[in-house]
Amino acid sequence: MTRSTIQNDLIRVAMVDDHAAVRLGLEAAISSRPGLVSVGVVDGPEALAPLLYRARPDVVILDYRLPRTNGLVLCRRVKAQPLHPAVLLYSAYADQALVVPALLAGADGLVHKGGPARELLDAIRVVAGGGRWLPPLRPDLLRDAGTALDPEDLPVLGMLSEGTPRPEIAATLRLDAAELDRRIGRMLASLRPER
Amino acid sequence: MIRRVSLFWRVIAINGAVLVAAALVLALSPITVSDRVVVAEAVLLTVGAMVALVVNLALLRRVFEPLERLTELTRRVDPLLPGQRLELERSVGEVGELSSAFNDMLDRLERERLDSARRALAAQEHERRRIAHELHDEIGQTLTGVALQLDVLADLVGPDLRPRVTALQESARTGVEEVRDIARGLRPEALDEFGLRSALVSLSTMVADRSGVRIEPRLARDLPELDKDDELVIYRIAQESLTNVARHAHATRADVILERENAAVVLRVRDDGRGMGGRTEESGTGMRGMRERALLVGASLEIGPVAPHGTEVRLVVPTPADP
Repeated sequence: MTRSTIQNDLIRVAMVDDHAAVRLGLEAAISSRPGLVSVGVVDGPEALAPLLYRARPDVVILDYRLPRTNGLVLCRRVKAQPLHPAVLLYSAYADQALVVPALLAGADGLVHKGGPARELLDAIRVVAGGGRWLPPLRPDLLRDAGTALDPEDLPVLGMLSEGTPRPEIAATLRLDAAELDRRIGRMLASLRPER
Repeated sequence: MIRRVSLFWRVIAINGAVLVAAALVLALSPITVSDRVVVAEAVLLTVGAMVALVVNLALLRRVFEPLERLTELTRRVDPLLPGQRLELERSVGEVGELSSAFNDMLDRLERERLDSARRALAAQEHERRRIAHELHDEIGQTLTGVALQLDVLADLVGPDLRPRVTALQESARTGVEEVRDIARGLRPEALDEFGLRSALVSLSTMVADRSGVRIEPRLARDLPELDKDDELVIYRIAQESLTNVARHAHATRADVILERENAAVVLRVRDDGRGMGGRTEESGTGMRGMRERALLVGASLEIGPVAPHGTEVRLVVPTPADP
């Protein structure tokens, strides 16, 4: 049972973005669409945990570039919680290069920040309903990610890109959830040489 | 050991020898000089002095010849082709010392030039990164927020105002895109965040989308570790080459190939366009910039035609030998 059914089909959306103009725009866009309600907008990662606890959003929109951290790190943290909301990564650039890391971090959607509000609102609906909103994964990017990863980890990437749920991946590979998570962390690290 | 005799003593020795020879000729020959010099004697003395002078000239000329060659070589040293050094196989002391001092100076100048060019480039990259971040984080975000607000507004206004709001929406969105492109051109975020390979794939996709040229990145799996400067040079040269392909080449497809070759990483950007035609390799500041960047990491850059038509840019970046 998803939270949206509890809340009379109203989709509760929370946002993390460090820029005031974007926060204002997002709130305006969300409150303009019937069926969506903004339950909180915060400017940094520190305020997110209390917001999740207090407001119980169905969808969290995470800016990719955040002070002291980034949307991927935050996304993993959100997804690690029981009864986690859907996560939309909202990124201004590096979109192609971000698809595989977004997939690994467990994001349900990746929305380009320059796109029209309609696209974001559609994406919110889709991920709130349990769907995914990721750009098509270009074969060369997948191949390229494949070369950077440990061959042992490739089945994980393959199943994630097909949308296989994590418990199912863990079961297929005979791993427990923590072990799968550790491996995904390792994969993310090898795709991101900076951190 | 004769080479160790200094120029000064050579000149003294030659002059001395000529003078002694002249004195001997005067003493041993039947030539006499009267108290009052007669015309015939004057002529003879003049001729003798001239002969001594010519002999002196011929001998000294030989001695100074290496110095002239040194001057000539010095003039030919080209700062854009580092590594040139003076070589005088037959030279006297001072000239040998001068040319080795000159070579030392070239060493120091080249080192200093390389260091200062590196510093300048590092400062430039730092500045570019700062400007890119500021453009993206400030103006870009403000415009994104404005565009979102306008999207909302477009649904609220009546049909009479809608075309105006739509025009505003388009301007704001164009602004977002422009800021993004400028920021990306200044500093490829993908390179910092996801490494060279992802950055090259992203770059290829972007140029292909924009220009309609089919661009295929072929990036080898077994690349050795590259340091940050090398990666940046490879990225920038790929960027410059693809920009040239999109702008000037009239190409339909291009390949971006990154592979390992012996102890080097080789980048090749090859297109099937009309080639360089009449343009020389060095024309355009882009090419010069590429060459200077390559020089800084000790890489070499070649630009040439490929069969049947098109151009290939080939960058060879030596990697440190395996320990």
